[in-house]
Amino acid sequence: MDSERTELEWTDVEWRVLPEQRIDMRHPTRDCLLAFALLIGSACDARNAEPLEPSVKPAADAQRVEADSPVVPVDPATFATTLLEIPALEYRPLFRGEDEPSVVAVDAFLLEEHAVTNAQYAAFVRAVPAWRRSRAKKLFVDDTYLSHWQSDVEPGSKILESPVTNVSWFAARAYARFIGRRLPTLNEWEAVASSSERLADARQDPAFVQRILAWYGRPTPSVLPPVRSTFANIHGVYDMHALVWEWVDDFSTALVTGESRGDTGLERNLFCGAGSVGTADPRDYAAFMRYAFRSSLNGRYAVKNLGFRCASSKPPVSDGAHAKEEKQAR
Amino acid sequence: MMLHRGLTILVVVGALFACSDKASYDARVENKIPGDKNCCPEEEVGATSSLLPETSIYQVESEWHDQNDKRTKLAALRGKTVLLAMIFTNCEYACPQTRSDLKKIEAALSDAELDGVRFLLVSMDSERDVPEVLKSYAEAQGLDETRWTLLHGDATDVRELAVALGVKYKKLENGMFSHSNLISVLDPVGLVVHRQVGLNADPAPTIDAIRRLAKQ
Repeated sequence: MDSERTELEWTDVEWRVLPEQRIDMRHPTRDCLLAFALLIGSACDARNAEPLEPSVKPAADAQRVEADSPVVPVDPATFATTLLEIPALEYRPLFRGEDEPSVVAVDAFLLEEHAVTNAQYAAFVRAVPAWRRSRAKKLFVDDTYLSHWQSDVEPGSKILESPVTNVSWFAARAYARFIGRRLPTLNEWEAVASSSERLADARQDPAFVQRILAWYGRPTPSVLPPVRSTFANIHGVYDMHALVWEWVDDFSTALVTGESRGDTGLERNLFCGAGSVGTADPRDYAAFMRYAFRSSLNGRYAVKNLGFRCASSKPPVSDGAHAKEEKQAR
Repeated sequence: MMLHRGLTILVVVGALFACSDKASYDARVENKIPGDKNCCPEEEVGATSSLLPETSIYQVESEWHDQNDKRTKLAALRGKTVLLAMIFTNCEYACPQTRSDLKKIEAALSDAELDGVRFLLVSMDSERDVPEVLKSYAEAQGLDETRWTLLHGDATDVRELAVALGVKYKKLENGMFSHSNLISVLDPVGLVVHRQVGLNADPAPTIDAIRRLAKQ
């Protein structure tokens, strides 16, 4: 399947295109940002586009090459990442339609202190063989799924406490559901991500934005640092930036690009209601990039610097009570 | 000057992160583990799903309610050619057009051809489009229930199906949705073999896809 993918080198894409871009210095930001988002989205989509013909040998890839590891019962404590209470917040979405409000109220909710680790995810796949890389259905994961692990159930000792990456959206959701939690929504995640150590909304703080951008500019290290290795923001939540990108439940609402195929921009016949998307704060490049990144994703992609953390709408419960819930959630 | 700098950062960073999975693809290829192809049968998977291709939409195992409030799974349509679209009944602009695009296709096919075809409308409005609403919608629109199925599902399951199909949608404050306009053609085992993108598109390629499937 991989060999059939259209390989599109990044360097070819933007350096060829950008010198030709005309930048209108009077109204630069919104149009340029939007154009760039489209560029990123469509280039990635093109690269990963797959043939639509039915696969010739449907059962072929069902035959597995990795030896089965036994199903291991779960110690609920493994999954008991502290849920922090996030108060009701106001969030200004970066992209919004004409009819959409400029400020979105995000209800109080609970968010995990740190991203899900390789050790935690390994416990999950030991308990649920269907999500091991040898078994996960290709509708839900691509070939990169957990490809950095030593084996089907072993991440390798160096990365146990690092955030799990190379997980698809479907897989992240399955994990969250398994432990009785859910993925945060885009608005929830962005609202929490706009907080620095001291400010609930630090998006106007140039130093904060610059720090995030500096991370975006660094290549992903081959061994990711452990969770809780960057800063905790005002809510006590660690590593919202500077460790990994994170899935959100409704990543596919980022309506920056239209359909991946035949995308000619924000045409009304491709996308109901998309003609009026505008940006709220074009200075927030960091948020803009997250939008662009999300819009380039497909639910089955696994990416080496994309992980997730879980959230919950429920009021906090004691760890003991939570363990019971986890069992019931199955 | 500031702007130039900002854009440059944007470009460089975009290049770094947007397709950063390429390297891991390569790593994956190098690490491909050779092995015995006959090992490891999938024992715990149900008989139906083990015969399905892994990328079949019917791998989605969620439960739905049809317009007659009957519990069903997507795989119930296995064996047929399925035209699937996601809609919501309060939609004023796009969904009626999608529906009429589907009806255009229905009208173009002969009765014999239609025997093997089912039309599936899945609502993205979990709150309002309960089975009774879907039922009256089907009646009001004159949808032949021997061929048309309308499904109501849980919001989580709707999102999952949408992501699997590549349909993007977003609920707006006013209760409406902005969404992709997409008709997917599923073959008898649930593989997407054709997509009609956009409204009022030429139905000929979709009809061809249906006829090709009928010949197989």
